[in-house]
Amino acid sequence: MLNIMIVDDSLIIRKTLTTELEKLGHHVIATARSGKEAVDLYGKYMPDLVTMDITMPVMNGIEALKRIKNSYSDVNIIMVTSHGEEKLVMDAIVNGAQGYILKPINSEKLIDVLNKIFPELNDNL
Amino acid sequence: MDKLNLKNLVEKTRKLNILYVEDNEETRIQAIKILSNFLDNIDIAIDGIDGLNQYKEKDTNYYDLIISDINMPNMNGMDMAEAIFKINRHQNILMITAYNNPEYLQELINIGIKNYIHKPVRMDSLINEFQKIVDALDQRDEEDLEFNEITKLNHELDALVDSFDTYVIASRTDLKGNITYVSKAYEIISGYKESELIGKPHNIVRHPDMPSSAFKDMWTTIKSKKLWIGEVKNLKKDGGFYWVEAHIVPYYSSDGSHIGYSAIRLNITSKKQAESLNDEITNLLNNAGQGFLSFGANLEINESFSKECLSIFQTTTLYKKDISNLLFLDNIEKKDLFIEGIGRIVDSTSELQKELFLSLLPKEHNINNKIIKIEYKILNDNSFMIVLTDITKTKELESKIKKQNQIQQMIVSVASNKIDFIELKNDFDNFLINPSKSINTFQRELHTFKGIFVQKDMLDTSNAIHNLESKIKMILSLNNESNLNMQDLMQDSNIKDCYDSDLNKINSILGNDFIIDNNVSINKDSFEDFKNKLKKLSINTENHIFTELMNDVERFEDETIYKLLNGYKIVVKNLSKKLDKEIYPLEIIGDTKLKISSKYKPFIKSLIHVFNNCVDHGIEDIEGRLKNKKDEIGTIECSFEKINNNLQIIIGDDGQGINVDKLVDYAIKSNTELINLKDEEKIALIFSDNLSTKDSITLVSGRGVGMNSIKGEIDKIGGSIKIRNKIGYGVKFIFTLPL
Repeated sequence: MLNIMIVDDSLIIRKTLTTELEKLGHHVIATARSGKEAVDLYGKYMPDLVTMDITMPVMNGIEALKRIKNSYSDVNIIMVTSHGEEKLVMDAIVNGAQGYILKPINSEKLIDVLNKIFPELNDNL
Repeated sequence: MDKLNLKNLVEKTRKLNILYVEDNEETRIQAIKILSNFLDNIDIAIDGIDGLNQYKEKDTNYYDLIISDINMPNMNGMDMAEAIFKINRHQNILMITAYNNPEYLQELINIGIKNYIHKPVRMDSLINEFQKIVDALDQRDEEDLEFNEITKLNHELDALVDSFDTYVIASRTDLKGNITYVSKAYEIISGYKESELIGKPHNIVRHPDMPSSAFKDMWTTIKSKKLWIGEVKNLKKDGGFYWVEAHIVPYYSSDGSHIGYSAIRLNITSKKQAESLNDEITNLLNNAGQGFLSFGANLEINESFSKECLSIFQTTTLYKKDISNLLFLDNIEKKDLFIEGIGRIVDSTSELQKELFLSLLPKEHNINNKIIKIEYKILNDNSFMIVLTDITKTKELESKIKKQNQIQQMIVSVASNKIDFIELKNDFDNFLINPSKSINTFQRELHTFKGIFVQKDMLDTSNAIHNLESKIKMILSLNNESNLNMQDLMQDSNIKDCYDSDLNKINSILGNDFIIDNNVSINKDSFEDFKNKLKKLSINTENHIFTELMNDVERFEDETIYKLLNGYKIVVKNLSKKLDKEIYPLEIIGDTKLKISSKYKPFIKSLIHVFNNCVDHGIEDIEGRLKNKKDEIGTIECSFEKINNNLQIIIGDDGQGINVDKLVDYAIKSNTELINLKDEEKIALIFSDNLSTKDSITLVSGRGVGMNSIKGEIDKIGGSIKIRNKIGYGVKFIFTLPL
């Protein structure tokens, strides 16, 4: 089980991710509505994984990724993204994102990306 | 002899091994004194027997020289020499003799002794003898060397011949082609023994796969005494085969007459098998119906690619061409993404990252009017492979099915919310006849219509509008002050045709009445037909939306107040989605069985403006709600209740409320007397003509006609309206209708 922080400005996406992740047995320990909130909350909750939207008001996901990574180099972050944001995802990967999930979100995609980053999850099943 | 020569001589004599045989001790001591000037290794024997025994103890070639007296007891020097010569015919023996007797000398010569000196031994004659021996030894060394060379060469030649026999598939035939010689290697590869081959015609190993034309060429060439080289498939004794590269030349006897042909062959079976495998693979790739190619980090295409690539790119060559240009020449965005992605993969050292970048590359593109699926593989750091598949037909089929589904979806969307649709139709009909004069307003309204048509799944219409929007953008970018005629623009873009086509599809299924009649009515047969289709959809797709709609549609038949209000659930849902607001699903609370007269229907329909206002004006966007510490999801409520002989309908939201001051500001622009109104009266201004607090007009609300039409409807049926407004907390509309 992972403690996960969801960062997304869309309520629908936050809800979908929470539902799907909890179905998979994970715990959503915190949610943030902007990159800035994510940076502020990360240190408080120290989640095992962050799902990070790219396009958000106040501070976008890549900036937030850079800042969190700067203070906590071993952070695990996956980007939540839409078609047309491929270049931004590449930027995020170069800056340390370990994976990405393309909307619409479903459990198969989540399992796929989580297994790549946490191969041990598979062993526990 | 000069000193230098003497020195050279002594240098050589010191290396010699000498056996000195002398019976007289005094002579021996004397002689050794002299000899030790020349010699380091002197073995002493006291008579012939002793000398012979010592000689036998050593290797045959050990002594370079034996110096011996002749007259000795037990065995004299002559007998010893004879015995030694039997062991080594070439042994150097120097006899020291006191006699100068020719017969004696003759006997020495007979035995084979060539060298002798007389007693008393003189230094100069000794030097002379040593010189002769050293010279002879030098010469023998040279001869030995030569001999060794020749032996070595002979060995090499033997080995060569051996290996030729073992490794070279060689044969000779006579002039008629009958085998006269085969090498060991020939036997091994063909599986035949030499005895089975000699005398047989060479075509014993001819494989049936070889065409006779190949041999015709060979015979013509070698008969004209030229070298023939060719690849030949041969038949093994066991029925198998081997491939050789044969070199065949005429063969001449030692007197120069042409007596046959000589051939050597290289085994090229593996090469041939590899070639054939390669051919098979190439054949497979060329016929797979897919394009395979590889390219380097510099994006240049490598030399080999499958034929299908040429047809996909409609070109005759690909080698060294830039793959990004071939794939995405007409799409800068995809091309940039591709180039950046490949660059990032090349730069990255992490396998995980490489995979991630790879998965982000464009997966599909339209190339020469074909939809091509593009799959990528990393061959190594500097090389990539792509597989191209023409998926046009699959896509066409998919889009056909999608189109059919879209039509059904459109019918469902339209039928499930007729009020919405009729309003849209009226507005758009009006827009078509009388479009806005201002290009900005026209564009904005066009855009709003597009969104609503997408919502209603009227995709022909929305696509046509989309094309017109792009066209206007292009025209404006070319000429700012252009005098555009909206009617002409719409005419050119076939908007009316597409719109009519969508309407016709709706007509054909729901019946003409559905569109024309503003009252909720539908031809009974059409309705049943539609219901059946919907039922099928809800069963086949197992999509809960269809099931919900089915339930809704079934309730069409009832004339309950609940049913009539229920239609607004979808209105609220669609509109909130369109305006990007988060609102909980609308709940209708009240007696679901309460029926009402059809005379209330126009009023119920006019309530759309209330819901539109709640969604558009009432509920704030998320940021606004969070700032006001509200649930980030908005709530709109609708309840009804029969109180005495009245029906009370309450519609409310938890939004920002109506800004009364703003309302008044707007109102007094047209009527200055309104400035003295009480608060309760002020809010009633919302029902005035052409009044809106929204600065900009959208299709949804804000045109100031909606609330006014509610007032008109409720007046007709003798009802009343109350508004509870609380700035920052929401608004409640309370309608009271006499039953």
